[in-house]
Amino acid sequence: VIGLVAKSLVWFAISAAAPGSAGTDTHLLAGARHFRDGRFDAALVEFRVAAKVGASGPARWYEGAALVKLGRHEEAIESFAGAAADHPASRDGLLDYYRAVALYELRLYLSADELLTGVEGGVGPRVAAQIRELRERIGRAATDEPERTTLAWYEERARVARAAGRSALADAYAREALALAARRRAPQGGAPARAELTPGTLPAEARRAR
Amino acid sequence: MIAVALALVLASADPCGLPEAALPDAGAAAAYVEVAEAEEAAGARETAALAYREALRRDPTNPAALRGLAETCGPRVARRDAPSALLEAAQLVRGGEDRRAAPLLAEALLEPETADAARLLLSVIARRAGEDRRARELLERAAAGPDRRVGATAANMLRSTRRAGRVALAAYAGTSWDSNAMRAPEPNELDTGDAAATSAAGVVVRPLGDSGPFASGGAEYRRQRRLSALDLAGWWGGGGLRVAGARGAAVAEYRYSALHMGGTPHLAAHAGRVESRVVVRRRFALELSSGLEHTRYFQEYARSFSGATFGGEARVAWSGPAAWAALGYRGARFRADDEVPLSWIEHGPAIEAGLAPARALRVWVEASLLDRVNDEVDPLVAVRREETALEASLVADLAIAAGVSARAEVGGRMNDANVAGLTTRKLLASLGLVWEASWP
Repeated sequence: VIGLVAKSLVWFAISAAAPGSAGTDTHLLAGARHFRDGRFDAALVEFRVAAKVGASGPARWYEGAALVKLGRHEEAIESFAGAAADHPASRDGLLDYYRAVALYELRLYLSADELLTGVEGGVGPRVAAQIRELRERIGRAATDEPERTTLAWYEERARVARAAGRSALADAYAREALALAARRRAPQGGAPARAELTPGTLPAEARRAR
Repeated sequence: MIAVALALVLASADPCGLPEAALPDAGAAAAYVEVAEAEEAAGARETAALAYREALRRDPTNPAALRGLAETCGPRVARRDAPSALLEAAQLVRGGEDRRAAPLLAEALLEPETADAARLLLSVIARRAGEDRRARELLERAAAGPDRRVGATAANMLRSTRRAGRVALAAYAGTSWDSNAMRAPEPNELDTGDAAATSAAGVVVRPLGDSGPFASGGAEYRRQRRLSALDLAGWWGGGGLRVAGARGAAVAEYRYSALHMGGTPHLAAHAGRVESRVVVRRRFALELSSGLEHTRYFQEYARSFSGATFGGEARVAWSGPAAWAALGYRGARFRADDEVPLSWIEHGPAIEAGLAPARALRVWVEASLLDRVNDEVDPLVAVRREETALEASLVADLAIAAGVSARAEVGGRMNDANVAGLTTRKLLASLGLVWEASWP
């Protein structure tokens, strides 16, 4: 998977080179090489420098992937959210897979599953297998009807993230809480989560439940 | 073999390890520093160290990167041997591997006993990178530090950086006394001594910095107290190319100069010179210089001395932390334009030695002993002229303010000749103020 990501990154770095500066390309390519060789901290540095010197959109997607490999999932969520907002055209199945891994590692199972829906067909066979495996793990982790205490855990996380200035992460926790609340047969709850959510970003499951 | 390979892999993965050189890029270095600071703030110290290291690869004396790398790698380094890091860095700087030396110097900055020496070496790197202002700041801190030897060296280097900017100015004002201003022959029973006041100023413009083309010019005025016929007013101007690298430098220059004496045109000269200096081993350098000058005298009594002089010198120079010395051999050939008997050849040794006994004080001696033989018999004196000239001077330079020093010099010249009328003696003494500054 790492090899495929690196290949994809290099390809993207080259294809995106036209509007960017030579310096930007250099940093993107250097980051891709580090990523391929498993030096994720070096890759992260190069992608962040690339973002600073001009390639903020694509570089932030790769930044997110590197952060996932470094186990810095909360920061990865922030990077992916920023990338999706600033440079949606650079999104692809592979990067969605990495974003889903970050969500999964933060126990944002429903959000991860929602993200991966439909991605499998747009990637190669090896990544598709990884996605299938991840979705199986998500299926095992996500219980049919969540406990109220589970919702409260996500709501608390959202509040803490918001207080720390991590709005994308706060949104992710709040969305997960609302999606879980929509699965409850008993009084659904979710009001605290809705309060933490950035307006207009209600998750699909919660929308369906309404 | 496996152990070596593993060591290499581990070394390359060490964010505090030695980086390979990269092309200088201050803009990218600043971006790396920003990333490093963000990583440091996020608690990712190893990633921060890695980014600081990348910044130093592109800008070896970047202060924020040096500080950051020292802080992020500090606790680990502190357990290592800072003097060893300094020693290794010094070797790398000598070999011109500045970017590899920078992280080691960042380590050496952590320890008080090596910090000033590290600043000294960092100033060398900064100067090579054209960061003269940064070099000056580092030297000023090193010069003010507690290590006396390092301080003296830094003070010396600070003086040279004051001449190293893209525009450098120097000025001198002083008084002098010459025991035999008229060069009267021995035995000299005349009152030929005189005092004089001298002022001079010069400028060098190097639009591309230390390496590249330059233009220079200057003027000098000397007013005798009694012998106004010896008053001098002169100016010079020229240009050339200097190429400087980690292991040496080479200069090619053309200069035109003109001199008035006693209020009338005295001489005009066209001169070209080439010089090179190569560091051959640690503190030793080989210096070679050669020049061709054509001088034309305007006054009737001196016109027959017009002609071309071709000369050269080879020197071996040694420079230590607070002392320096050089031994050279020089030779010159003068060919008179008209009067063949006045053409001559001369050669002989020359030495220079100096030391900096205190941070603000430098003292040095210069001496040469030259034998000169004319080509043919001079019909005026009916002999083939042979002369031996011994010149020596002792100079003391005391820095009294930033860019300003007081300079005192005593010296003499003995000229022994096989023609009685050409044997001369003189003693010289001078005291003056030197001001030097450069921008940026």
